[in-house]
Amino acid sequence: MIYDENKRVITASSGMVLTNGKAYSSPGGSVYLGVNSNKDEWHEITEEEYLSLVDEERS
Amino acid sequence: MSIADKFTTIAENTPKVYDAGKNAEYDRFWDCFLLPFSGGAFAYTFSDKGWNNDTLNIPPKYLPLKPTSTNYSFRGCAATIIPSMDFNNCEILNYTYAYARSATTIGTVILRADGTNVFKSSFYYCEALVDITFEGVINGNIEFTQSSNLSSKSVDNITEHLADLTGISAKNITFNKSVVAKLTDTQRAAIQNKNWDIIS
Repeated sequence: MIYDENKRVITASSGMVLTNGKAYSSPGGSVYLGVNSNKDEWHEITEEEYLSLVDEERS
Repeated sequence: MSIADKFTTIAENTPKVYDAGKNAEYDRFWDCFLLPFSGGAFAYTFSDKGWNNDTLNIPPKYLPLKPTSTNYSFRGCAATIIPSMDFNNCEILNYTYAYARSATTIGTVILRADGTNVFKSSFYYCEALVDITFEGVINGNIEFTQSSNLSSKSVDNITEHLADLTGISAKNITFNKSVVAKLTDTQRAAIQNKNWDIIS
């Protein structure tokens, strides 16, 4: 993933999903961080991992 | 008055009498239809394609609707305009407008001033949504993931009603990628400066 310090935006790699453990981006999506947000709380997972986590949450 | 004149008068008045009767029945329909929902349980109330702009034509005296619960209230609804709703008696907006796939306009969403309303997939698959207006305070994670045509004016309105989270934990607002791509630097900064993360 790439972090742009000026815009405070994290962009996921192609096919990857950003998550902070509670929220998820779309595959290849981005997160513009709030003024007090910490970029280190966000990491990438694969789309398959994302779908598995969403299934778990729904069941 | 001759009999011929009387027939002429009757013929002239027939449409007016018909319209008056129709209007009376229209009011009576809504009185009866909404009576069971007077307690405010609006789950699935306007779901299915039979509800369109002609049929979902609620008399102003009933608006805004005042629900106490609202799961899938407009699921599959064919109306492009969704009536305004007041959520002061309804804390949880989970799936309220979910699958209102034809809706281009959602009437005023009146939230609590203390920001205690909760949103989960409230606008899930509102994929035609262009215009939405809020009153009150948005203070929970909120998603417009499938609304790729959400207007700039709507984004400004949403931003205006986001709680200011400066100095406390950030929350998330999710927009469709195409909406985020069109945000101006000013719009993005306005959201980020209230300490909200913008997810796409």
